[in-house]
Amino acid sequence: MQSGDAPLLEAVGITKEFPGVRALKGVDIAIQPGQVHGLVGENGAGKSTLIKIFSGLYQQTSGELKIDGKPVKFRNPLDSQKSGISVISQEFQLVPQLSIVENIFLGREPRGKIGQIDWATARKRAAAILERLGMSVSVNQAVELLSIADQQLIEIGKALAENARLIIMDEPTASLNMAEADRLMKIVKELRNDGRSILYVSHRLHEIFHLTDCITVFRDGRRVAVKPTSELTEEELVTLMIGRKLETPSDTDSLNQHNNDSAPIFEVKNLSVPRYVHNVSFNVRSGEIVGIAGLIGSGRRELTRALYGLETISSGEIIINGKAEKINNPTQALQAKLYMLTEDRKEEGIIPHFNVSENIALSSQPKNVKDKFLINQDHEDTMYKNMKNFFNIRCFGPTQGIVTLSGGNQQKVLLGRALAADCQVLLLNEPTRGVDIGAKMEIYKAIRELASTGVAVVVSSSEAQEIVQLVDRCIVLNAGNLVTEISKKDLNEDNIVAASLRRAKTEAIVNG
Amino acid sequence: MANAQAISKGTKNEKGSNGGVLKIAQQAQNLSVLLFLVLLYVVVGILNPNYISGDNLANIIVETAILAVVAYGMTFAIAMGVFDLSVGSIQALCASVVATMLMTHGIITSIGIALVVGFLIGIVNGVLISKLRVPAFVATLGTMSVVRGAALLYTDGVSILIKNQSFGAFNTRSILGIPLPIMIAVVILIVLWAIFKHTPFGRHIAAVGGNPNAAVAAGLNVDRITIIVFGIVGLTAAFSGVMLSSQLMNVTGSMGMGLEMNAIAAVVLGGTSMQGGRGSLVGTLVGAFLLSSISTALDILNIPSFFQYLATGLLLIGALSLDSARRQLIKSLLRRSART
Repeated sequence: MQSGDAPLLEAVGITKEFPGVRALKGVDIAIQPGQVHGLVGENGAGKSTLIKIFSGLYQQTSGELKIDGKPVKFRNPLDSQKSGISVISQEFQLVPQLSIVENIFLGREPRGKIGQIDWATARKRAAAILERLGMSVSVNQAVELLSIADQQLIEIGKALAENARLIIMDEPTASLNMAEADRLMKIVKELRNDGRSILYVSHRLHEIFHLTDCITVFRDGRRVAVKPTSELTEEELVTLMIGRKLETPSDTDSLNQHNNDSAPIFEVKNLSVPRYVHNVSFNVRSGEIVGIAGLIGSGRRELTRALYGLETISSGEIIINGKAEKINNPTQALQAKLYMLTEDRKEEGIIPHFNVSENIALSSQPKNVKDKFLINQDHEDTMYKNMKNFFNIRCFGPTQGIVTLSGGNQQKVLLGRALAADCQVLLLNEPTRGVDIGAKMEIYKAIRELASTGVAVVVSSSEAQEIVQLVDRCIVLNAGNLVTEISKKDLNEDNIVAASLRRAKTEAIVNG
Repeated sequence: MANAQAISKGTKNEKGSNGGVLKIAQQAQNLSVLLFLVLLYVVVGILNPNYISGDNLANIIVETAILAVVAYGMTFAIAMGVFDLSVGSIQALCASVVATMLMTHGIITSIGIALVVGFLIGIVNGVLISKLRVPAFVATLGTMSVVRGAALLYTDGVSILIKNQSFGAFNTRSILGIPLPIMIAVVILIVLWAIFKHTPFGRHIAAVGGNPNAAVAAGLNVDRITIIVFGIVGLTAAFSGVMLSSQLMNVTGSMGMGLEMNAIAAVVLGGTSMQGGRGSLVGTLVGAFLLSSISTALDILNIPSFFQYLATGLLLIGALSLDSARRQLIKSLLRRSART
């Protein structure tokens, strides 16, 4: 290759190892000047790791990075920025209290004669950048007063102020509505027309097809394909991403009847959470396990949190046993006999210095007036014994500290807490995250047994395999919309992944 | 099968030794406090034998009781992961209230009103923190100043002499040969200990202190728990104000300054972690005894009172660094057990 048309950024044989894990196994990628390059792959395929290597946050274990054909080493984010790379991650790097102009030039303020900040120049240049991005706000506006979409544009503005040649965007439309996403895509095209390169990472395949010139596909830490966008179809791309041929998902009969036709005890009607969830309805019968599938950022997390009173609901109804319930916080949820375990066992689950028995008893409701004011030790002992047997918790006794248990056993203790809370509806988020494979099977068994006692169980999970193994049917979210419901007979990983990647029908109509 | 048993046995021993090390770390701190106490009494007793005279010991006991009562409340707050800076001001206001009430009312009524005032101020703190989401540090810093102002206004800046002699007998009376202040300190200790260990409310305090997010997610009514805990802190501060006024028989609006510091120091010296989640009320009583012994020792050795601030501050810093050293130890042990 001649040096004249060397790629702007080239990665050769990049490997990244973490203790016990190889996140990247010798991947190559080459981004040409003036190109929008799409990077796709399932969760955990290694996209984020590569972005962190490009941004200087991680250093590759082996392999080489080249800028304009010359080898470079990024020891820290500053090295990467100096090479003309700017990364716009999902978490913005803005100081909310500072103004737009202060944020755009943070750390690179134009200086005057005696080293003072030349605000006049800074404002003029910031105004030019805003105009270029099609924003009509004052440069003195505080960033925290802007919408998420506008804050993201300010991030792009920062990249422009640095005169970045390569802008890496990681799921840039994850928290944008459709109009905002369209505006962003227009800006991306304009940036390319200016001769800048963009590495566009997204789960939203229609954006990838709409924007990119070339697509790189990652799977399990390897690059499985790199092709010009024009030579790929959406089906081919999904097949490359999941590594198998897709069975054609059957749209028409996916919303069919469950064999069991008892009345649902848990109904969610037209529930919306500002920004994250739009008009989602589903129901669960007694003893049934319903899955919620969807990629990260699909609104899955916000949906269950809203049902448990941890997010604000803008509209919709939650009906338990035929009664509409008002749930503004977990205490009210518990009173309505709805309980949830969050996905973060450590931060929002266990009480670290409590023992096993105390952790089980935490959400249990007093049986009588006396129990309300005095801990009933006998009752706690019975609960502990029951839960230990029911979930096969491996511990030495009720007073063993919870933190000395393995992750899987901690999860079983939390399931015990949920059962002891005497709920009728149980929401589980990522129930086997960080749990080894043997314990996983035990937890699935425990959840099924829990359901068999008549509890309506909802399992939200990012692992398609888990949904297939565990649930009776599942709903799939994409960008906050319910895209489809998959019945037991159509339930397989391919259908779930395909549905997760497919945009919602409403969105398709709006976008034409 | 035999293999599995061997493995489980191995882990059991490992966990056992972890627990052992933790216990030893805790015991070491308890032991160092006791050792320090013995040393203090021996050394100061030799330098000035008056220190271990009956009169002086009685004095130390009264001071211990007054500090311990308010420090018990602080133990609840610290177990919940917060603290209350307004206790000194509450003590002063409630002492002033009881002193003026005694002019016109009986002892029981006067004490009752003072306790209600303290409890209500505590409730206000709790509401500020839970409902208005003001950080506990700032909220109680604010009420510290407001209540101090109220106390000074209420007393008009002058000292109030208590003439009701039977009120003063509070500190000198003995029941069954045990001085009344000790009696009070122990009875309140038992009541609060029972609440902390044997009621769902007490358990929930520790849960909030141990992992606030998990407590919310578990459906605990964290707001209500917070309000009641601060109510209890206010109540104990008021009670200590009543005891202090009966000891001095002379009340001013500016008494109890810096009490928050002594109360927190007593709690931490007693082995309660500033991290929250745990609380040792007995330890707090020992901590209060240590602090009172030191301040009396400095008095009796004619060391200027400025040094008392120095001593309390140094002790607090020392106890806190012990506390974080212990937490580091726990952390490293957890990491090790997680890997095995």
